[in-house]
Amino acid sequence: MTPDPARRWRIPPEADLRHREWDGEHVFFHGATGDTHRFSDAAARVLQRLMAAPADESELATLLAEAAAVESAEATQALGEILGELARLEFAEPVT
Amino acid sequence: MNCHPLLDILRDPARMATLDLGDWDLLLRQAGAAGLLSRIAVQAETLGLDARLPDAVRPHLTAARTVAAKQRQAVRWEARRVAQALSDIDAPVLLLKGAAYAIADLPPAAGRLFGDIDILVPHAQLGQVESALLLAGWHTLKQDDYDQRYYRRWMHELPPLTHIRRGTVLDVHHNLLPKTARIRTHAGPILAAARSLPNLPGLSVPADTDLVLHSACHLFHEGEWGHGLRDLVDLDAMLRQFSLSPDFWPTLLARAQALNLGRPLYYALDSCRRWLHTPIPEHVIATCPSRPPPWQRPLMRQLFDAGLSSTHPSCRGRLVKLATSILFVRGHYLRMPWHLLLPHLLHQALRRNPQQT
Amino acid sequence: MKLGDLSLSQLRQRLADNDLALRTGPFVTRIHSPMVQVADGLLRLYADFPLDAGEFQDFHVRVGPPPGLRRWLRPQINFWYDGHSPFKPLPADHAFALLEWGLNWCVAGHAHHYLMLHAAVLEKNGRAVVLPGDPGAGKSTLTAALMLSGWRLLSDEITLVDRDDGLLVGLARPVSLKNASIEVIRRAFPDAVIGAPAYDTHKGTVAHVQPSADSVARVGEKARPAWIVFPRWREGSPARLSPHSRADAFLHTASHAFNYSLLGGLGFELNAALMDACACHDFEYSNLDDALRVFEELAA
Repeated sequence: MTPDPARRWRIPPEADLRHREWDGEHVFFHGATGDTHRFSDAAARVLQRLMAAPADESELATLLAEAAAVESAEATQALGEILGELARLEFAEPVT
Repeated sequence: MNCHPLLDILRDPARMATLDLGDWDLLLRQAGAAGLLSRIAVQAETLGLDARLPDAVRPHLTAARTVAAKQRQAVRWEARRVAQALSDIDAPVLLLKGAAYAIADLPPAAGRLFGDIDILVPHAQLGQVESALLLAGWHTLKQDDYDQRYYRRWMHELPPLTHIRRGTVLDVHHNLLPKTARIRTHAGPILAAARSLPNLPGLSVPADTDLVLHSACHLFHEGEWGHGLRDLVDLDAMLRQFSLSPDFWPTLLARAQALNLGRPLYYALDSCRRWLHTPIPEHVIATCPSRPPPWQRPLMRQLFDAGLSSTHPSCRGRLVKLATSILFVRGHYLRMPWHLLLPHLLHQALRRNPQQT
Repeated sequence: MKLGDLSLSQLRQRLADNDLALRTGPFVTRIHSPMVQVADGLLRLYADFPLDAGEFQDFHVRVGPPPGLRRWLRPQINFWYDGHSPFKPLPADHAFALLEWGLNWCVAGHAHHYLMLHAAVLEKNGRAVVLPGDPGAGKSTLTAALMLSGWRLLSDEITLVDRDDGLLVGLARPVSLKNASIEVIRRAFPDAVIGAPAYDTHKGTVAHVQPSADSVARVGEKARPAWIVFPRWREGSPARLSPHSRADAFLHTASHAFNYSLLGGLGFELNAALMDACACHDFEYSNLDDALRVFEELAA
């Protein structure tokens, strides 16, 4: 899907996500699907932010840009890929 | 009707507190075979009995509750995916049976185990629905042309759809009974009376009376009796809860009349009362539409009782094997006229896959 | 009373009469079988195990021919769990191996009050090592060797994690060996009691090592997990431990567990607690003595 700074994202209701980190490696569990994944640092930041509360793409892009010390255009591109993957795995979804 | 102590506990779960270890040994096996272990485990928890039960028994109930909780979570999530896949369809999509109970938090959901998800859609939208589901990853497993023809031409449902990645199964119905069945019923009124689900836009569930009638219909017209007692427990749970509404019984009877499902309803009410002591007013059974003539009742009771007992070796009488076969044939008989039934059964027998859930 | 207190003929009679209930750790199993291979195997490998005289058993199993006429056509047997048969039939010679697989199936398929990992687990000096293993990595050989050199065996196949305290619960059942590892263990431990092999099974030749008396006697003691070690036998490799990422170990144990996903959030938390409690290692070896020495140092 095309990036849209105003689009809001959230953890799907009833997903029951869990998270742990060991030595910088992030493991996330999706309670409803039973899937477990190790996500990159960037994806982990996005997910942890969403687990706290829904957020829009511009906020998430800013978060990534600061964390990785990159320009916002690059962060937005990376965010697009991350959100696409998270949506595919049902860890996150746009708020309708 | 030999299924003790399981029946005693289904009729009065609080009696779990009085069972000795020998009783529990048998109860866990009977309940396990009937698919009802999780249900009694949840009831033990609800009634606060766990602490009073023998130490050796408690882990079995904990394990059974764990399984049920997971299945409930899984079926709710799968229903969500179905809703998403069909979000562009402009027609009612009804969840039936187990999935309906789980999503709408109805009485049978407690401790229930789930298999396939069943949905009901208008016949006119069948093609659209099938396309949308295919797009989302549900497809018919490779079946020969004969099976495809059987389902599409004669049955009230599409061939089962399996999700290509997850392996979950979806049964798409367009009526409660097949086109070829001896009793004809209509899906239109059921679709019209459906209640939408606030937490799952796009999906609905049948009205209370229709849930009862569908469950009765499914139990007494299908050929498979493996889950017979479980289905009866579903019915009992619904009847006990729904009959708290003062106009439930007259509405149920009227609805049975309108949908031409009085016969299966009669058998359902009669079996529930005899097996599970469901409190059903005498006049309700006595005035049930299309009730069978008195001479037919003892034989049908025997056959149904045998089918319902078939779950565990300790429950079975000597005649059960024959009776279960008669009921299997009866199930098919009700679904297809004889001249179609015999060739079909022959074909199925030749192709039998020993795997069976 | 212990199983070994029975004579072979008494044991055979009780098995045939469905009058034998065996305790293995937290489980009591009623075993019904007319097969001489089952009686022989039980007497050889389970002599130290207590019999249970109570009214309640956790599992009710039968190993024997199918009922009815079919038994005369082919000498095949099956494993029955309360009248239901989850496996394909096998030749009569595999009866004891079938019982062992069946007993594992009973636990792995039903004991969901535990988190169950596919791993061996042994204990020494109050701390336990968990050995998850891909098939063919030499986990069973190492497990048998560790037990025979003094480690307490909890299980060679199923690690049971108690959901309330995170401690590990043992079964102390025989260690299953395949093909070449049978001979390796025989040579390294000539006094080890090994049951009659089953040939041409779907896993090749299979035999079982009697659990040590200490393992069986102390099966009621839960164990505190301290290490997770991924073993790999590799020709010519010196015995050596190296670090293994805990996130990786988490994913591995989760994907090979019997009921991790089934337990949902609880499964996640229990597995995570296990990672927290343990140091995770890869372990390569080729010589068994060297391997045992490394483990001795670990447990010191």
